Amino acid sequence: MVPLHYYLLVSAMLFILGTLGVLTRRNALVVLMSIELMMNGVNLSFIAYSRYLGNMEGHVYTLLSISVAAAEVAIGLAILIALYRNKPTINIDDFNIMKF
Amino acid sequence: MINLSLLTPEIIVLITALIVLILDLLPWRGRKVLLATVGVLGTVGALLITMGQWDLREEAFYGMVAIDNFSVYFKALFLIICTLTILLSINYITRGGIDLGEYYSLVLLATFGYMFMASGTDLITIFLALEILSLAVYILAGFMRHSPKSNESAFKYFLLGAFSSAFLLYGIANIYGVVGNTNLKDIAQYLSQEAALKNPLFLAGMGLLLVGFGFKVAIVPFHMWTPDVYEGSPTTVTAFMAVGTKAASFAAFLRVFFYTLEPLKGQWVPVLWLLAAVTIIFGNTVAIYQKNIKRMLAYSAIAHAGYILVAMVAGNDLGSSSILYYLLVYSLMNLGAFGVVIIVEKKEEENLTISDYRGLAYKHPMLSAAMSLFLLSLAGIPPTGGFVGKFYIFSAAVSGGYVGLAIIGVLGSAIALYYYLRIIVYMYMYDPEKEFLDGPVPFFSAAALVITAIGTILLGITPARILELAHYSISYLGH
Amino acid sequence: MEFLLFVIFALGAIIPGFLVITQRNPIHSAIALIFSLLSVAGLFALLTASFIAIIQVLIYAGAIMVLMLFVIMMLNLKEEDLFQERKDLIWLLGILLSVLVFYELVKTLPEAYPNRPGLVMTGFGSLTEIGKLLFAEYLLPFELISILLLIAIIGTVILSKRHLKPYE
Repeated sequence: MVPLHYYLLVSAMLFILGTLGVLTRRNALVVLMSIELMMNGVNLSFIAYSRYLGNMEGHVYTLLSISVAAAEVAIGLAILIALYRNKPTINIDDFNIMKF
Repeated sequence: MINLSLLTPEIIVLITALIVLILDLLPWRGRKVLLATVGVLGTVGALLITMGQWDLREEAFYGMVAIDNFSVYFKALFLIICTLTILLSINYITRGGIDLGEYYSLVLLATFGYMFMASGTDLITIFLALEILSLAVYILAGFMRHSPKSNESAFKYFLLGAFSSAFLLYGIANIYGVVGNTNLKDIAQYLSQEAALKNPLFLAGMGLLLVGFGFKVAIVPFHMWTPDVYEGSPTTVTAFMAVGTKAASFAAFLRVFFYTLEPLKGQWVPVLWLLAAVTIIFGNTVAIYQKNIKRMLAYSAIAHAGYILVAMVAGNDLGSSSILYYLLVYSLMNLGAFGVVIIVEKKEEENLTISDYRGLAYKHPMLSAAMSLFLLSLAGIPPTGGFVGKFYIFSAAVSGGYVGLAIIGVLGSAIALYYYLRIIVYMYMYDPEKEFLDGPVPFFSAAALVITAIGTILLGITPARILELAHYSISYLGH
Repeated sequence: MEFLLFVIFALGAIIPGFLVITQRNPIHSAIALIFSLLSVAGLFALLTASFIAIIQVLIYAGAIMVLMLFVIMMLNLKEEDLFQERKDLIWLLGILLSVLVFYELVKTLPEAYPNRPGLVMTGFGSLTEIGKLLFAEYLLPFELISILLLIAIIGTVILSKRHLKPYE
């Protein structure tokens, strides 16, 4: 069997990649996708732990997590659309009406 | 094991939200006041039932939710916050052109989320409640669709919130991996074993939880876009999130860290010590440079979260009961201060800079008096509730042995005096340059101000009863 | 054999993940993300999570990513809108930090957890088992999700409907 920590490392890798994406990219869409990457890392963690603990709760958590991610993406895109209508850019750096 | 009847207050709030949504479809002219009335009736009804749940020690839904005094106290607080927000919103959203029924619905649904944050005894309940309230508030922040500032604040808030939720979820995953469950009771049981205290996976999970909660209560260095969000959102929403989201997040933060993760105190207390110190100093200092009153209040809110952290560090009974007390006072005085800002603010976001408050006292003496009361309370001057709250927190810190932190807190409050008093000076010592309001002070907003003002003063003069209540609420929580 | 599949899926998740955060065109990022999601579904299948693997493909790759692609298309970005992002010091710092964190993880993780895969019951990962939990112990989270979705629906309509009519 593949040891648990291999899965945990993959999960951590995805999470770290997602975090990097959120912190460095300026394109709002890519930031959103990076957040999805992070959530995927977390889901992988849940399922891996679930398998190695032998209980099904991790699967339930994953299901809930996927639903939450879906709702979040929907709202995030809606906000982006509203934003884009007023100011047709998706560059986060351009959103600096409010400073300091 | 389900005990649905115990969740009656939450169900009432939910049904009120749905009724408001449906009633919005009526083609009746006066329906905006009707919707607000329905909303207030719902929250007051839920409040009465919540207060009737005092002194229960029950669980519901297989241990996901607990109905104990801790949750009753907080739920009552949230319902009061919700009612006051609705009252303050009635005229504001008409002025702003956003009077849609969905507004009230979302405020009620966010309150629904708050209530589960306080009563959740399972990490997954807390997470879902957090998501519910966060989504509702993201939408509310962006409600003024025509205003670029509102859009921007909604977007920044969303990014920040989604990012922090991922951290929180990762923390939950790791804790699940170690404990096998996410129930707070099971976690506490796991921690009673000696070996558990050193498990690196658990500690990592705890660290991630701390990051997640830190974002939600907006302490430094997780405060990144909070001032922008506060400045750009419609002011009633700013008030709602400054008060409600913070209180709800602290309720869950308290339950998870203070009570469940208590055996690991040696790990997270030093971290919180540092965060509290940095937050207090940073929040108060930066607030001095703010010209926009909403931004100033945002940094002030950041600093106040720092004071609450001091009480969490203190770790004793007085510490946690002072947090409950402080959150009540904090909610009232902030709602009051924001209430005045809401009334004075004009269409298209005028009248929001501090210098716009020049001479307010000559045109609207009652309004200025109320504002002065709230500002003095925020600064912590006796005999207001704010003073008593800070007093309790710093006493708790000293009696817990954290004198240094208490000194930092007092220093911070001293710095804060400057920017709070500055507004009072502007209101009273300058001549008015323009008309402030387009008419008399709106009735419902005035009512809300009266309630918050009375609360602030009462809590300053006779705090003992509420403190006792707060103490009793947490008394048996540390099992 | 299983290890080979693990390596394939793991690389299939990580390399597209890296592409997501480095591509200039958001469409490329989206496609890379879809690949990553499908590989993660493969990993789920390896971990005997058959139902969740299917859900991952259907919902995550199938619904969520399609929604994102719809919106990207709707925004109708032209070539000049795609900006050159600063290849900053921040990238370097971020990569350095990540490598550090990852190294620490590789060092500590193997001992951190008892390395025995649990003996699992027949039907592990099946819909029946999830259903048993979801409608008993986890009933409240299930109901809360429904409220969450309601809020999401309200929000999407409010925020993106073209003409909103307030009260007359």
